[in-house]
Amino acid sequence: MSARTISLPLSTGQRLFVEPDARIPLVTFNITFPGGYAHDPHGKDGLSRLVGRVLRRGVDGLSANEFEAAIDGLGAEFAFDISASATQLQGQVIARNADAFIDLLARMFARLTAPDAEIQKTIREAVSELSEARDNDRVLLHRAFRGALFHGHGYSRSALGDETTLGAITPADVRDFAKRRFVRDGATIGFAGAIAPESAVRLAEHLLAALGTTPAIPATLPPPSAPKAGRHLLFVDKPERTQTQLQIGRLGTSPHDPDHAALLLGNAIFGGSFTSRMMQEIRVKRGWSYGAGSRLPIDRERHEFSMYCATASEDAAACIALQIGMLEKLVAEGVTERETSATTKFLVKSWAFEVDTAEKRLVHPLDVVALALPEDYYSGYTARFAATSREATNAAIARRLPADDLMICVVGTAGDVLEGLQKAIPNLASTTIIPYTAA
Amino acid sequence: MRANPAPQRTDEFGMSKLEAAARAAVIAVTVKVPSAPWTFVETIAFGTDAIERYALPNGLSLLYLFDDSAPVVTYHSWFNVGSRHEREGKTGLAHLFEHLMFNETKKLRAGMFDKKLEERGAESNASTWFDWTNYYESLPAADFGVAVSLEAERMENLVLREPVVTAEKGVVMNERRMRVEDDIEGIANEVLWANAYLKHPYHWPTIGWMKDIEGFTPADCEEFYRTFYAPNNATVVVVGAVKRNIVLAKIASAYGHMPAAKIPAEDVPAEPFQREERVATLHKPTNGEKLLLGWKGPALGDFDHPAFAVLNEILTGGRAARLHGRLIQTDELATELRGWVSTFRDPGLYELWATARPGVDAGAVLTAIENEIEKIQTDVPLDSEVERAKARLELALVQSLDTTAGKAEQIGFYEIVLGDPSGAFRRLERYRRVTASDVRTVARRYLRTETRTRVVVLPSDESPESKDAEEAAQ
Repeated sequence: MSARTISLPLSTGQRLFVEPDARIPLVTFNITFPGGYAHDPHGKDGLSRLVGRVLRRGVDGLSANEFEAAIDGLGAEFAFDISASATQLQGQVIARNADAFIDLLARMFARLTAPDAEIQKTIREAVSELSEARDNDRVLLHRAFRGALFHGHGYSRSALGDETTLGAITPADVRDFAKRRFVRDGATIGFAGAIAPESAVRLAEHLLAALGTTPAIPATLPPPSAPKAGRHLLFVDKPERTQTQLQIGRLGTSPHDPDHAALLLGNAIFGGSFTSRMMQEIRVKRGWSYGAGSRLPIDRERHEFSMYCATASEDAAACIALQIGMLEKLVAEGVTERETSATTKFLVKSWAFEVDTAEKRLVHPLDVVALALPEDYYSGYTARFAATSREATNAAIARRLPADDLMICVVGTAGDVLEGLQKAIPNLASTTIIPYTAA
Repeated sequence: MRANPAPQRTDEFGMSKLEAAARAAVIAVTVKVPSAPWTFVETIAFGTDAIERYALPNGLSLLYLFDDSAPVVTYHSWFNVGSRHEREGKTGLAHLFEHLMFNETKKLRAGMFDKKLEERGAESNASTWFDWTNYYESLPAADFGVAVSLEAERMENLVLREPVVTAEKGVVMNERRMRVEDDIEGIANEVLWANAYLKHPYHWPTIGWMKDIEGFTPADCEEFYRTFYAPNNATVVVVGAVKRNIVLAKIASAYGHMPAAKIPAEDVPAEPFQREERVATLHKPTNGEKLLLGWKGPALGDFDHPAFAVLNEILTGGRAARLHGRLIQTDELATELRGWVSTFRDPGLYELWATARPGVDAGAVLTAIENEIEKIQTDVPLDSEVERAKARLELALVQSLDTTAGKAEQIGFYEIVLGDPSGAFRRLERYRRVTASDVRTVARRYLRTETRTRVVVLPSDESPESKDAEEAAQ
């Protein structure tokens, strides 16, 4: 938590965080509820996202259009962000209208009044959006990669759902889930910007009064199981691709791992910046991809490590071989002292841009609660990197990122590249091909 | 355009030197006039803050805004060169060049530019569009001098040779595959502008045609560099927690010795008036038909532009907008709808993009859009709709000013396109004066079928005979 963040107790027992900053007349509001798409009822994937949408399709005597017009008229906007483990409403409003904005949101949460016909319409809208998502190769890639890597775990699910799961959702499901998801229990509220702490308390308590008092849906998840051994290729076949999208990875890090900071540092050296190894080898030296990098997203449990790039189809086989070779070399030889030193400086000094606005500073305490992070996760962030040695980094890489077991996901045109890719991947254990329309 | 400005030039609003001097004298009460080589030009209100404008004898323009809301600074370099300054056969050069600017210089071997910035925790990137090219760094305020020295070094001493040029062409070709060839909206957008503009350089995409990118040589890049990268073709914008005397001293020291260049006079052909609708059809692997419409619209500086922005909000801005309500919620014809009034120096397009739901004919989407346009051309919109639109536009402006980077971008963009660094606030004032009648007037003036270009995207397996139309379009 930033030194400027104010944490205030509320009469309802919830936690309120305020980041006052009156430099621009804007108020940011955030309420986070435990549980995300990984907690959707079995066979009803997509329900969390759907409920967030249906809430605004009929509010306390206002039609969907009247409600949206009222929000717009205040110079406000909001959206639900559904992650695997949390459901967040994030909004912004011109400061002079903050009271009216929160009042509208409170009315929205108080009771879901959208009629069945409106709910059914929203479901049809969500179904048709699945088709649109398949137009985007990166969306296809990430969905397929996570589905395969976390097979059977909540992280393998999609916030969008699919045609079958959305088709199984009824208006009664939506109403019931809204009542269970949007409750006071476990909710965390934050305000940032041009708002005084006492006003924030008043508005937070007004909003919380609109929420139910039943226990929250548990947000816990089991740790993901280790994926099957060996290197496995999942090929999403889409016609007419001039480019092949590649994502290669395995399980990554947990925020509670003792080597968490060391692995983040190792990842930053490998694929986390413009000067990283992946960017240099794939983009700068060879011109094979516009973007090239690796990532270690965090959640309540261990999430993924993955490398990503998109290359001309004629370069795909060579590129995938290069990436696997780079990972093998990273694990075998580790990072250098110079890399460690330079990247530590980057991570420590770039922290300034994680805390340069009240809105960004507010995110940290909310994340700590929503993702059950260690209390000092952000406040001790830079100190942990500064204290991480090259040896610790290399040990973390060797322990967490062995290149023997990899999920390799590709979106491309199978007829053009599949055979070459299979030959380019050493020790490939299996290949699965699915049409993009089924991804 | 700000071609070849002289060191003591008339300012961007056409003020005489005398008037500018008079303004400078008035504000000298609060602004310390710098010693040589800088010329203080003016202060310009920017909301409740004030931008200071200075000039070096070599023509470099500086816009400075002190902001100590965080211990950081943003450094922007805007060059008055974009794809509009290219010619047929050499399209995409401004954008390729933007990529090359991150490579070797006389004093920095390849890779050192990014290394020096990253060691200081900096964020940096660049962008190119029709009218301009922009480079930026945001970094801790204490490291301000690093941004100055790096930007000055690459403005003056870039090294352009193989194998860097070939590798960077590969990167750009992959960027093009990602953004255009394999992206339905990207290719539709390219076909739209190529058909809507037949003479004006807005005809070609900023990323360039693939065959042109493939053909560039180091000599092409060198010629482009020597022509357009000079202090008198650039504006530096500094926003952050760095004091004026430090900003002026460091920039003068790094750039002051650079000679001005002779920037060629711009020679952009006028676009002939469009007298009938143009239609192109594409076939792509997709389940849903798409529709992209582009009407000839106003330039950013045109008096009609703010009213057009309000019209766009009424039609497409948010879930309460007319077209959103009609196409997505009521008639259930589309899954996505977006509108945009282009923000270019010359008249651009008003674009509407709609994704039809699977099984819905793009023609049905078009009919619904035309029906809603006819309504707003017939009856003035409700005052409540106009006010809602203005509130959304105000919110967007305030959101853009949350960081030093956001402020620097607003200042630089409006300076390079309109010569008015506080143009964002000027627009806000004009939004407030827009009436319902103004909205109907711009709808009538611009949303005419004969000035429209239409791109329809159909699933690949439909009507093979339409392939001929697709080929003709490209």
